[in-house]
Amino acid sequence: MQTLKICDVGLQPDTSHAFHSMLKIVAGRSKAAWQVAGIEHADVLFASSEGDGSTFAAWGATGKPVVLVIDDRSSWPPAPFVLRHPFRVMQLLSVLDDVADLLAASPGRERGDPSRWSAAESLRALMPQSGNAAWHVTRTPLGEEVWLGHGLVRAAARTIARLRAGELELAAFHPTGTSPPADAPAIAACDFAWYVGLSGPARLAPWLFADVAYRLRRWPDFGRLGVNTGMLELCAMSTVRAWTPAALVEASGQPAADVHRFLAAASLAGLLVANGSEQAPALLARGRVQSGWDRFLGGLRRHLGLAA
Amino acid sequence: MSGVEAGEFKIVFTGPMGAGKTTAIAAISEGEPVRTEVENTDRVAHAKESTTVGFDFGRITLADGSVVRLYGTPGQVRYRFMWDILGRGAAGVIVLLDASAPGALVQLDVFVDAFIPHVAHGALVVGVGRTDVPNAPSTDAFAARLDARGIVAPVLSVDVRRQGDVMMLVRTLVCILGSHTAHGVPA
Amino acid sequence: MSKVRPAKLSRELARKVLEGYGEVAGVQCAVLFSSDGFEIASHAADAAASARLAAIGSSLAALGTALAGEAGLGDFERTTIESNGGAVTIMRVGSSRSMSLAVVAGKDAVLGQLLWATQRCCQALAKLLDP
Ligand SMILES: Nc1nc2c(ncn2[C@@H]2O[C@H](COP(=O)(O)OP(=O)(O)OP(=O)(O)O)[C@@H](O)[C@H]2O)c(=O)[nH]1
Ligand SMILES: [Mg+2]
Repeated sequence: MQTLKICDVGLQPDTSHAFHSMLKIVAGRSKAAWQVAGIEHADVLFASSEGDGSTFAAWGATGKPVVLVIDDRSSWPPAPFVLRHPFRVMQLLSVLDDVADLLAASPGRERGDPSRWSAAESLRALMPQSGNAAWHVTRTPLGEEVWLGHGLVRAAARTIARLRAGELELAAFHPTGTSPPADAPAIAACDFAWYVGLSGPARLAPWLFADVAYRLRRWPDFGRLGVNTGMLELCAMSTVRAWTPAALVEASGQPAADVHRFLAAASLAGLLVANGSEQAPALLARGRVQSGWDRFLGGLRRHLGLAA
Repeated sequence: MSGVEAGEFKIVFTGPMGAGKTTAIAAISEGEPVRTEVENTDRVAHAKESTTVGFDFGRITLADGSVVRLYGTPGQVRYRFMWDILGRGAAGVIVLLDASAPGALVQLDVFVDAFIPHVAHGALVVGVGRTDVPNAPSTDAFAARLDARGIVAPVLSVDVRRQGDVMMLVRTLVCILGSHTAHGVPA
Repeated sequence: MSKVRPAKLSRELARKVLEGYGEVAGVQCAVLFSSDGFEIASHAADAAASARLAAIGSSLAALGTALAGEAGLGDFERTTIESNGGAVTIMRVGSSRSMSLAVVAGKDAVLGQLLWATQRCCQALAKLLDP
């Protein structure tokens, strides 16, 4: 049986009291052994829906599930694990078992590990077959489902918007026999992969090597994905020649975290190649630098809001 | 020669009829651009009322007073002589395409072939409009077409009626120019 | 939709006018073209040459229009390119902006005579347009 750590935050005193006494009753009946823990070690958050937003945001970034406790005045939130206060033991047991099922079904997740590459790693394994008909699913920390299959990723529009903004941390995908709602908004799987890479941890992705030089074999479609000038620079540099991650950080003058996320995004989207693994582009390498050129280009770059 | 000293830094917008060259230059040029549009009498080729037969000309002035010239070419192959005149000495070329037009992928080849001889520093950027039209090829299809020819150039979906999209094309071009200057392999 | 060529103009009549004009001393060939560069009628020029002349001529006419407009001089009327081998004149036909005539003349042509004759020819063509 798996042991799971749970942390309660922001509950009213009577709710908190009920929760702790019920946990004792649940022991031995639940699919998991539940231990109360501090928030930094917890696998699951047990929180009042009225709770402090910054706690939710910090928890959200961990990709772990949350059980929301609402009071009798609140309307039902769009989250998978919800209890209305006051709740019975059997209701608590049922929710905890659902959470235990979810966590058991995602063996790839690195619980308590701050590196959080679980979604990206599972995506890496799934991308080559992402065009297949079988669906895989994962959840956001708030329990919204994200589906991968048929070359697409389907999720609620608001979930996709948060992903595009780099605000979402996802758990690993796992196979499912069910399908997403047919009308769920979709984006291309490779676009999704790009966003997952950009919202990953600051350090170099575990599947990339510090001593290998990488270059772009193709540009991402920034018209579709959105762009900032930093990324344009990194792309331009990485099509001219291959760079080790450290050399790219050095030459671009950009924060290592940004460069690492760019590399993770490009590799997940299938745009990055290790130098030598493919023929370098033969074309367009004619140099033609003149005096005055650098100064002029500098002026133009400033005009366009690019670093000079 | 890119002729920076001669004040000839120019970016050329090209691509087939109706791709949006005139629209793009008007979107980012300071002041009214020079246009040479006349009535389009070939409504089979394109339903729009007017078409460029000379060139479009706009400009962007930088803080230090130097000027970037923006030229738009005619789109029809019969104006090929104009493509060569305008392409000569270009610092960079932006090829615009309408994904919903028949033969858009072939048009990419036509314009890449025509302008590659003028492009140094890898300064080629492709902007594709109307990729959201049902059955229109995606930007990936255009990029694959370039891959097949060993060309690594950005293919960006754009709506050239939006100034921000056109500026993204120009920024991308300038980033490429900067990278080739700073990090490129010398000839 | 098909090409919206000026419906009233008969290509055959236009060709006849150009033929008569071809008698002018020094004239090597003449092409009547639409403002967007399609040949409408020609004299003494093969198909490929007249297609190219039509395209280049339409660019020049459009550039002339842009230049005259820029200088605040009103509409484009004509332009002549002189070179050591002869001269090319592009002249607007009638008051509409829909077509122009390009004439190529050799060294033996007298420019004044050529322009006068070209003007006459354009007037004749304009009559065909608007009888
Ligand atoms: N719906 C839609 N319309 C667009 C888009 N991009 C451009 N257009 C329209 O397409 C037309 C393009 O016309 P022009 O700018 O004259 O095209 P051009 O490339 O200069 O054409 P030629 O001079 O004839 O070669 C304009 O009417 C634009 O408003 C787009 O992404 N979506
Ligand atoms: Mg135009």
